[in-house]
Amino acid sequence: MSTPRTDEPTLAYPPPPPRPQQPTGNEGFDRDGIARRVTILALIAAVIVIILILRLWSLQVLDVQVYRAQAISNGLRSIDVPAARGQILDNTGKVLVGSRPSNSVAIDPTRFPDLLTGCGRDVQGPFDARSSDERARRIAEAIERAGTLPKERRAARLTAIKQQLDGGQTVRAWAGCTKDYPQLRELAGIVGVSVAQVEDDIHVASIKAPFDSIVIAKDVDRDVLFYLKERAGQFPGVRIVEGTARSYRQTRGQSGKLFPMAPHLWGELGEVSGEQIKDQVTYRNASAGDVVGQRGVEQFFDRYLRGTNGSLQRRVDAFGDPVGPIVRSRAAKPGDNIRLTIDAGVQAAAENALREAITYARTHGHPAAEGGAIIAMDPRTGAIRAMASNPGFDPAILAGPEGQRYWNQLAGDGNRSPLLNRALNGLYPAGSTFKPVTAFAAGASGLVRPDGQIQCSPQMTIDGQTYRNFESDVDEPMNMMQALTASCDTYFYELGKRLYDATPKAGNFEPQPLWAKRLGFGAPTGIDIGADSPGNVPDFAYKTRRFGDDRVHNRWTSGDAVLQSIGQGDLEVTPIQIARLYALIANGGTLVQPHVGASVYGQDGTLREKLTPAPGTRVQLDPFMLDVVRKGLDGVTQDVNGTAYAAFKGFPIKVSGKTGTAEKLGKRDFAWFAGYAPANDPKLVVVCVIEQGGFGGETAAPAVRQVMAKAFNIDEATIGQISSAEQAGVYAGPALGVDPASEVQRQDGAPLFPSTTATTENAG
Amino acid sequence: MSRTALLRRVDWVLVAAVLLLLYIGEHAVRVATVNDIAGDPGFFVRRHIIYIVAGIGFAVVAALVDPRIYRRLFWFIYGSTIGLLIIVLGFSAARGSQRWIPLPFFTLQPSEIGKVTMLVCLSIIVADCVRRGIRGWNMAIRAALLMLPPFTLVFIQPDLGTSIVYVAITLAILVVAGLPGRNVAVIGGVGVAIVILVLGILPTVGLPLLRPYQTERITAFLDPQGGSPAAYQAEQSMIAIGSGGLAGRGQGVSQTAGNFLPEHHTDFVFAVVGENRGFVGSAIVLMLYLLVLWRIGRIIPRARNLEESFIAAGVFGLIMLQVGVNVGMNLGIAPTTGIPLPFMTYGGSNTVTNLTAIGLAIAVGIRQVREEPTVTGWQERPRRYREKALSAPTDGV
Repeated sequence: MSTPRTDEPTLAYPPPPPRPQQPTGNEGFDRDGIARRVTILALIAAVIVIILILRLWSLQVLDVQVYRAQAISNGLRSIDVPAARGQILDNTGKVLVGSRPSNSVAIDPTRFPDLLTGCGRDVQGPFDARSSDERARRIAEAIERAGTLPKERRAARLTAIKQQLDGGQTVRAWAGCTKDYPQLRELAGIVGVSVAQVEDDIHVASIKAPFDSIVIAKDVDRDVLFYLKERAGQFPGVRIVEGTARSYRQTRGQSGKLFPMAPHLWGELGEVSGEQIKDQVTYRNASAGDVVGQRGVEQFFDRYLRGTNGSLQRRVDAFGDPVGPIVRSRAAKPGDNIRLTIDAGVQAAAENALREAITYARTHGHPAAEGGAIIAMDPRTGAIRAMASNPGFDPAILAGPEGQRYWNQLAGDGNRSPLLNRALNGLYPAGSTFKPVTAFAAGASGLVRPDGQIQCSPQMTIDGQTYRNFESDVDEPMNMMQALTASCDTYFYELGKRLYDATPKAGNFEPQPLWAKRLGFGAPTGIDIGADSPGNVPDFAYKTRRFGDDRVHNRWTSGDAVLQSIGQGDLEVTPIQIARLYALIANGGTLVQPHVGASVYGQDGTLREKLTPAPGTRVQLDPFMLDVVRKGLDGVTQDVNGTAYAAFKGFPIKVSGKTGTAEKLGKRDFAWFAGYAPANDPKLVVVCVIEQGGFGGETAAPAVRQVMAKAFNIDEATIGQISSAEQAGVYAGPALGVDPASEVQRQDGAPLFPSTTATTENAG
Repeated sequence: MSRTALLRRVDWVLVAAVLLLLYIGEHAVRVATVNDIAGDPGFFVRRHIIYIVAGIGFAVVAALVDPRIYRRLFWFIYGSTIGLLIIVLGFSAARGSQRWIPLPFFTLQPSEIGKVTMLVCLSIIVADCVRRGIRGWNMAIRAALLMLPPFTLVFIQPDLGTSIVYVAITLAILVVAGLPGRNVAVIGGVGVAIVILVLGILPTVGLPLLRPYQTERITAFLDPQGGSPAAYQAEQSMIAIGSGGLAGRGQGVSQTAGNFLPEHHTDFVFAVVGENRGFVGSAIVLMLYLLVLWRIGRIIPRARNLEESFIAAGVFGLIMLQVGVNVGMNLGIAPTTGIPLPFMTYGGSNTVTNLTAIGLAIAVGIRQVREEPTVTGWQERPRRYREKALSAPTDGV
């Protein structure tokens, strides 16, 4: 800042010396103005604070009772909203396993404060295999919760308790104690659950989610519900929880009685175990506490069916009842529907046919007949149309309150084994249904000319051992076709002997077992609803395994080869393996992948995913051999000498198949029939086995006919008319097969096969 | 001026009020977070104490540094604040909405720092305006131009609460600088119009400027029974405060300890005091804030120059708005906008920022001009100030 210099002439009065004007930097600093305006700001601040204090006064002094009551009754509960489980549909969209409303009775533990700490209970380990881990863990947690262990010591304590329980020791646990609550004991009586069971439920559930209601009875009757609703005041803290349960389709039997349809296929629902959670392929996105499928379709398609649970968080009062709006919610995502290849109609027919075949056998000299299975499969794709197993059980009871008891009862029934799905896991001697395997083995090894004749004698002696033919009064030369048609055992003994002789004695090359394995025996089929049994194909390695160093027995003998040639000996097959063999014969050499899963649909009906099974394995077969075998099988139902001629007489569609009457030590004969139709363009393979059911052509073949009639829409009553017309010489229709050209690739929702009622095959 | 002279001129009433608030806040955070981290009841309060100590350190530094130096550092301060805000926007873009820059020992929240730095920058600009006779709209527009970049950067983070704080600081400084009342009224009117536009009109025509949760927070305040998470927070806070009654329910009571009160150590820490200490405790806290504001307000007209006066005014606006909105939101009469309660809310950046702001106010205070002795007191006579402190030539700008 420079001082202005003045060079002006001197005036009369010397001017005062210029005073340096020092800028203060505060030009315009109107302190009074600012003070005034700050006063305004301060007033605003004061007003704000006064408003806030008034508001405080209103909340804390005037309305204190309201808010204090709210604070005391305040509570937030997060409630899981279970996702609706998807339905299991048949190939036309009929519901096989659906959902129905189901009510549970639950109690609110907060209403019974002494419930969880009231009394100690001794818990005896170990637990049964089904629930051991989970229960032991929860009980252990209960113990450490009741105790006052510091957190860092809990893990060690838990492990110790689990070990104690696993070791069968008794551990004192603080469990649900109803001692002080007579109304809970009364409630247990009303809903039909034991007091001990209620205590156990309370105990286990309260550990899992201490504030959630505890379900003590599932799927209770309407009567019980009404009773409890009417007397709500008498049972404070008791709540009805609405939910869903599985409903199962039923089959109406011939007598009008209802049977649960295909109980073996579905499997059960149960809480996911710790081990299962690790399996994130089967149980995709499952988390602890989720209900998942156990076994069967429910398990193997669980990832589609389960859906995603939602949750909602809402304020509840001190009694746990919801008050006010939902604070936060995540909607449950319902599971997808799974459409199976199973056809409800064919399935029902198969189950009825199975039951009728068993009844027939029991009333015709085979009183021990009870177990059995029928499989209907598309030989082109391996799509299972029906899978029946007898005896069955009721999955609805299994899912109900009596489920555990029912399960124990079923599992303990070792004679009937009702839980066993015989179609997949029943192990049987194959009997004559195995003869095509021998034919392929011998033919491919060049040991027999299909058109060459072998004497079908009543008996045959090989290496000092005499083997009898089933039909003791036949003694004529037969070629392979005839031998299959008439099911001549000695013909195949001869093939077995030749195969044995062709086997290098020192080596382990055995054409017969090799071909059996090549055609799918001795290994699981890998069906998509759980492991099926591998069965057993005896070979040199098997003998060695079985008899070890026993030089007398550990050899592959001519007897082994001869017995295997007619599907006997130690050979064990499952019905699904036999079905696959006949599918292979029907489709010309492809070992198909059996499967029941077809497609996945969203709840809105949109197609989510098409389930494609693994492609079949192509087996190299001599076309001429295949043709001979097929002709032989044709004869079984068409030729008067055929073993199932009577059973399929008059059936309008030409069926090819093979009977089997398998022997099992200490049991009556097992009846088999395996066949496919139409013979010239096979669309369905049906296999039936009846344990101790007698002759295959008599017991099993009619059952197969019944299933095929349903699958091909054939009205058996009409056939009777045609037959009589035929006999009267009136009807002489042309032999019309099912026109392959008219068979369009199946669309979902269409009947399994176009009606063939009008097209008949002249059987004569 | 010697150090002892400076110390004598520190406004110890202001310091005591702030320290008391810090203590109350620390205690509230302590009792509220006991159950938050399993096995470590002191997790939050330990950190909070560290932040308080750091904040006091910053305040002391801010008090000792002569505010005149800020003019020389103007572009550095302004530039680095904008820079940090841009950097955090980069982090935000990378990881969704994020207001922090992660640093080794703490996370830096530039929008909080901006409250103080922008306040200083704005004071300098407005002081220049006043000095050069720029008044009215011209001044308001200059202030707005300065504040627009940081405001925009904070708003799009999105941090609605802090951007409102920026506006409040600006308005406080402009009002003290003498912006005519009608201008303030117009700005207020435009502000209300913008709020209505952003909340009501634009979303309905498909041009939402706010994230749905922001709109919801504000509309939740208008509809407390609406059941939204924001309404739930406010409701829980009101239950906590209301249940406190006249004398409070003591420590460890349901709303706070039972975790029903959300954000009980941050945005809703006042409700913890309300529940535990009741009307008496809450009112004492509010009176302490009023005391703080009064002491800062006292400093404003006595500052030795315009810049420092406006700095104090900015601090006044900063504290006033934060207290008003935060406590109002705790009491259910202001929207939930995520504005912290100065000196009490847990958190490093806001604790340091608000304490630094107090440090600035003290810095202005200890350099204030002497007051003419008055005979009859403050209310009766307009005050006169001597320009003594400004006699040295270097004191000018």
